[in-house]
Amino acid sequence: MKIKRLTICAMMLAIIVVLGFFPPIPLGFIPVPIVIQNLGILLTGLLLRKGEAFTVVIVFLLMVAAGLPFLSGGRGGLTPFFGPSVGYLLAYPICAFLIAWAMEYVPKPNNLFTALIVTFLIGVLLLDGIGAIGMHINIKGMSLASAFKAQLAFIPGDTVKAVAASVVYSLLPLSIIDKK
Amino acid sequence: MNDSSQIIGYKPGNTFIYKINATAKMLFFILVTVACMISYDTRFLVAISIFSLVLFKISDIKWKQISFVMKFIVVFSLLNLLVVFLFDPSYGVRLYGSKTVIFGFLTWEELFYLFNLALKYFCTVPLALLFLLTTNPSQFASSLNSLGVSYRISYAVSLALRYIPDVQNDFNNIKISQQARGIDLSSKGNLITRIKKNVQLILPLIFSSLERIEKVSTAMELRRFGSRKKRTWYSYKPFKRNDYLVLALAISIVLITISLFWVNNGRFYNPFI
Repeated sequence: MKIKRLTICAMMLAIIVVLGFFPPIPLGFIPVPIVIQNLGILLTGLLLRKGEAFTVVIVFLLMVAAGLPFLSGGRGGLTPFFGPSVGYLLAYPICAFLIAWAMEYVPKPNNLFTALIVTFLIGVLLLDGIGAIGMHINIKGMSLASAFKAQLAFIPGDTVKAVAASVVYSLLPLSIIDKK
Repeated sequence: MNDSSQIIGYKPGNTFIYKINATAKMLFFILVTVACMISYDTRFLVAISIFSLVLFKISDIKWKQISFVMKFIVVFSLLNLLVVFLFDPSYGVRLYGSKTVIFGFLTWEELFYLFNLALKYFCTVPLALLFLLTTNPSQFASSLNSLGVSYRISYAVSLALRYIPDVQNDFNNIKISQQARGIDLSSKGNLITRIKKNVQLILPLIFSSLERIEKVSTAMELRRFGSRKKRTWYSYKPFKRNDYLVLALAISIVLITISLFWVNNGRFYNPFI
């Protein structure tokens, strides 16, 4: 059984990386583009246990920090960690952990509605909230209020991603979703 | 049948770079990347850029193999430089302590700063692709293990690197199939429409990837993976003279970076004084 956990973690890591190969959709008014990659973060939280989810995302960030071009748009190295996206990057392991943790306590595993609520609250609202703080700190002249306002551009796309992640979660066999 | 030449992943090759020990390559890559991120000395960055590009040329990697990813890297690097400029056009002026206006609020100091940022891309991107494309994932796993990482974790990382080309290949197949069924994947349509189309590709991609887990896990278990505290590595390679030379070169580069801090009185080389 431990081997399956190892294989699932490896596959989730690969999925996060490959979702980064999707081209980001730049918005004109803020320097943080809409990316598909955080869908991989949501899925990691839903499908893995909390320790596994946290570790997988940390390993992903370590690979990025080491210079591998695995962030959306082929970015890598230490530069993204000192730019406007840093809030999102630091929020990724936290949100993956919290999603995995919350899903361990819900009464009905692979219930779509439960997964959607958890994913939306943690993976969309909390993640974008931390991202807004990161933008405020790193973009000179952007107030906290306008940073939070800018997150509205991400809410529809992130909501679609939360729905997609929840659908995937609810359709997977229970042998893969093994939280205990 | 499927054109796999654009898949980012390891392909065997014969140049000397493929023969360097994966541990030495990884340490070299990390040390040089960190050195280039820290330094803003233009002379150092130019030298490393040229060195990177020469290594890349020597490695015999085909341009076609990386052109897909390279397009994105170029576009978003340029976008990043533009955004850095737009959000703080005077940063270079404050940094270098002088102001030479070209026109409007564009100054030579800001251009020089952006040039340094661009050089960092030229330093690190070729090395990153080089490491990815010339390192066998199995050797990479044995490298991590020899650095003290548990072999299970090492193997998981190498499994992930091994899966990346497979998942990309699945994605290409799914994309072609969906386009054959009428999905328009061009840039038309508004934001929500484009995201929905991406999701229509991603869902089958994720399912086909996760289906693989059961088979791979069972196959590994049947071969008694994980039943011992330690394991041997088929692809393990001991260090040779060239590997020590690579490490020495990496350490030299780091020492040069540190000594330039004293020469420049900081991270920045300032030609405007």
